[in-house]
Amino acid sequence: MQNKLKELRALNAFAKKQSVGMQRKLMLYWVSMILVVFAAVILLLSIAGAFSQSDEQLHEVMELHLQNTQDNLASHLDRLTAQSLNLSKELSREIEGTLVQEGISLQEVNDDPEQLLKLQQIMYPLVNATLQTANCNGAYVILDATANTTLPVSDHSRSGLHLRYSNLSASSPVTPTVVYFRGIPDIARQKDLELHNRWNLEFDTDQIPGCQELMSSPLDRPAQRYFWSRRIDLKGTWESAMLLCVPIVGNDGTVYGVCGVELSALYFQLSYPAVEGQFGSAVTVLAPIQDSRLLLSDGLVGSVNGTYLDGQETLTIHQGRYYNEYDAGTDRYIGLHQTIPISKGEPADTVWAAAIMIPQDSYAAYTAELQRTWVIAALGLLVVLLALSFFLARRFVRPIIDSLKRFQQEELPEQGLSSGISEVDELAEFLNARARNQRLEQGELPPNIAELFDQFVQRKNLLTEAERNILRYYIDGHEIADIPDLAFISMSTVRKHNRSIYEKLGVASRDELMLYIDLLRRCGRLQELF
Amino acid sequence: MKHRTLIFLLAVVLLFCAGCSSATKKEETPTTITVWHVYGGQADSPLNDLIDQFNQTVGKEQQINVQVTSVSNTNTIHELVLSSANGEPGASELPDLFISYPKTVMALPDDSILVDYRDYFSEEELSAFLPAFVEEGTVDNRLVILPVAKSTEIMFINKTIFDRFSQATGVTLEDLDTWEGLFKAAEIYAEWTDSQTPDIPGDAKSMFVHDYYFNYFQVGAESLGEAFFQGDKLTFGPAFQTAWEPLARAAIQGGVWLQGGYATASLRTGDSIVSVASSASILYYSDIVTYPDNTSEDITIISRPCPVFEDGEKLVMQRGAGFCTVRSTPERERAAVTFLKWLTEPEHNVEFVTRTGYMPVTQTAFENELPNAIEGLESPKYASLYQAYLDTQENYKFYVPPQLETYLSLETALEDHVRAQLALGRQDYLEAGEAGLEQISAERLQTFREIMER
Repeated sequence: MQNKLKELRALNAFAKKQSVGMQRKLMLYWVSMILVVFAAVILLLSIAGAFSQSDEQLHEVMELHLQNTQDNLASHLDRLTAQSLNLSKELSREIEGTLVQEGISLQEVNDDPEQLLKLQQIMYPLVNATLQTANCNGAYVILDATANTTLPVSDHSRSGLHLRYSNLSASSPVTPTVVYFRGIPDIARQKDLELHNRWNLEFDTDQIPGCQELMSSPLDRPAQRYFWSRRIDLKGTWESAMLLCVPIVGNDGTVYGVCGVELSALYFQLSYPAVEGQFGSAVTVLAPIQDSRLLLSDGLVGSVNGTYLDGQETLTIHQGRYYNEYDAGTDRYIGLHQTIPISKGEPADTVWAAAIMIPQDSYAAYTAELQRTWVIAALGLLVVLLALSFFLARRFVRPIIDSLKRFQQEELPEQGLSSGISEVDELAEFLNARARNQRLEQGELPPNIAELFDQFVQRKNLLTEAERNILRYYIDGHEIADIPDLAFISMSTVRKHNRSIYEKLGVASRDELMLYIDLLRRCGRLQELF
Repeated sequence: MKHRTLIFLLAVVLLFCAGCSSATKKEETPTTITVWHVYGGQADSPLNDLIDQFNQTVGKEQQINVQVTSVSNTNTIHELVLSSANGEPGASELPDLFISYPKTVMALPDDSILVDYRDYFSEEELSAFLPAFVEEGTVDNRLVILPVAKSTEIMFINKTIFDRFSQATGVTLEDLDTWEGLFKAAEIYAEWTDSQTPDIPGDAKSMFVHDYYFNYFQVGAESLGEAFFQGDKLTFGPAFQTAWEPLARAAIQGGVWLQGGYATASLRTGDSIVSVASSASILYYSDIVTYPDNTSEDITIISRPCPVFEDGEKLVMQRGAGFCTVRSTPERERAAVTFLKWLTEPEHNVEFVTRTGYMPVTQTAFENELPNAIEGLESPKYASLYQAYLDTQENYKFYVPPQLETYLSLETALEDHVRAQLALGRQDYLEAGEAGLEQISAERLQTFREIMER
């Protein structure tokens, strides 16, 4: 491990020593700058809450939805309560009327199937009317009397009527089928009603917690005390339901029995469809809360389309900032709830809540998708910026590199030819000047001068022997006047030769000729003239 | 130039990513399909338990959620389906799956709203079903009704009360093997119960109730060698009269339950003690009888094969509706078919049928799974039913009603008028006394025929 670390360090040190290309260096600066800006933008966005936006959005949508749901539920249940209170009043009047007519008390109806039948016959139209007019799937009445007090079950068996719909569907049919769930079968036969497959003559009040207590204590009026039972399984059937229990109060305050309506799990499911939204499908729930747990098995659950809820779960509530989490053990749901008062005069140990919830999975899928989009967009932006920086760096560096390449090939840019970058031009000029100076320092001629000399030397080959002799005298420092004596020729011949020499060597005068000779002497190239 | 292409490509890739981000959102959501079925009525539904099992297993894997939104009977479903298919105001929306007899499909204005199962089942898969059942579900060359369970008519007896009756009068269970014997026993039962309360005359109790008198006459006439249907009408030949007479005699004397509703209801209240009904009604027979004074009695229900006429062939009605799938989206249709395939796998099919009083629909289920399942039955009520089933299978020929568009209306009319005429006959008898029995029977048959032929 340590060896490897050493190797890595060595490599790093080597890389540091290596000189880095201009473009790469520029890219590096660009990239660092981009990364810093990018990080700052992400930081700013997250501080501004751009990433928790979906939570807030969910909160708003759910709050609105919950408000609507609660309003609907409250008005639905209120209406059912009002109708049941009305049923209670009418039943009370009819029962009292019959009892007075017969001259008996309710206790005396016990063990008298005929009187019970008579009472049920007068109660049937009222119960049936309530069932037909209320938004419910069943209506019932329980009398505080039984057909046979000698039976062991007589303390919790009570005579009554219970009518239910059997063919519920989402859009309530105009002519629903009413089945006869509890009551004396003679009435069913008179009214041509089918007996429920699990028909019974009487109610078992033990199945409806709180029902006995409601019947046993006198009250002033029915609205003083009523309650919704928790969801109970209708024995022997596949259905379960909540019953609204309203006392039937006589003039003297005696409670004759209990009446009300039924909301079955199926009816509730059909009445409250799941709402499909961008976050998943939202399910409506009406359930009691106990110890921070929402007990679905005791309440009612709307349509569960799009979720795996089965209405039997106990959900542990975890309160959150934007929404609550409802943990069912295997599945988790998110949503909101709000308490809703649905009973009156009941010991306040049961708090009912209206809730809406969506599967956490579908919300997680939604946010994951959103995150994925963010990440892809951010990465895409990054890639574009990097590509841009590469492109710009390259574009910036290319003329410089080209110029430098030309330097390397010793093609120094001529005066006036520009690379487009002032610094490079200056550098080029500077390098040119320096190179020139260097060459001069080394006795080298500037090339154009050297060319003149070369041409001059070249031309001397055009001279004749006599002219070359005379040129030689001039090189040796003789004047024109010395030449006739030295060369044994006349002055006019000298002049003739001079004209020819000037012409051939391309000079205008003797002074110019002498300047060439002097310069060639200084450059040490004089012998080339011989 | 190169760089421009690169940037353009990058932009395209980015746009593509943004575009596909919304398309995959819903992959977590299960496909929910709705079902209307008849298995369980208002009682505990074994099919609902199986549906739960499906939802928890295969449903969860394949993201299918089956929801039962109605458990009723085929007649109610028939009405709902027709009103919905005809787009009548106030009609419910059709579910994805519903239980139906061919009569419902034939009454539909347009049966292309139903899935042809041949689109979803391979020939090999279909060959696993008993061919006669597949045949029965084929309407206009399209397999629109998938058999899931088949039933027959069975005689159910409240043995507890029958034993008392038998002891007092000497009538035996074997007497009930023929219709003639059964109705004779009903006459005796009426007399016996009437005599128990000498101070109240005319309070005879009924011994027998038939779920469908239409089936009684139909199978009866056919077993006596007479065609029951002539075109889309009924025939009232000598065989019909042979069937009418013993029934009418017993009914007029009060031995037959004539009020509406299912046979199980009058057995539940002790108003009758013997019934002939679909084997599937086993679910609805209660093990107790409750009397008007709220006393109740535990009873034993036993099953025997359906009675036959002394001179008739051993013929019995084969019944059992199947599942129709309503056309919707390919996704929902596939989900519905996935559930049906699961339900008709031999293992699940046998579990389903033996809990509902039906017979399975595939050869394998019949041969391999059913015998074991019957052996394992714990409830004596179900064991007795399946014994009667096996006896029926061995000794009887099955009769399948024809596919007629008028079938349902004929059935309803006959059912109502037979009961009404016999009830009127009962009243006439109570007023006229014993002497008028034969005449009343003949008069009522005459009136009945006139009404039916109108």
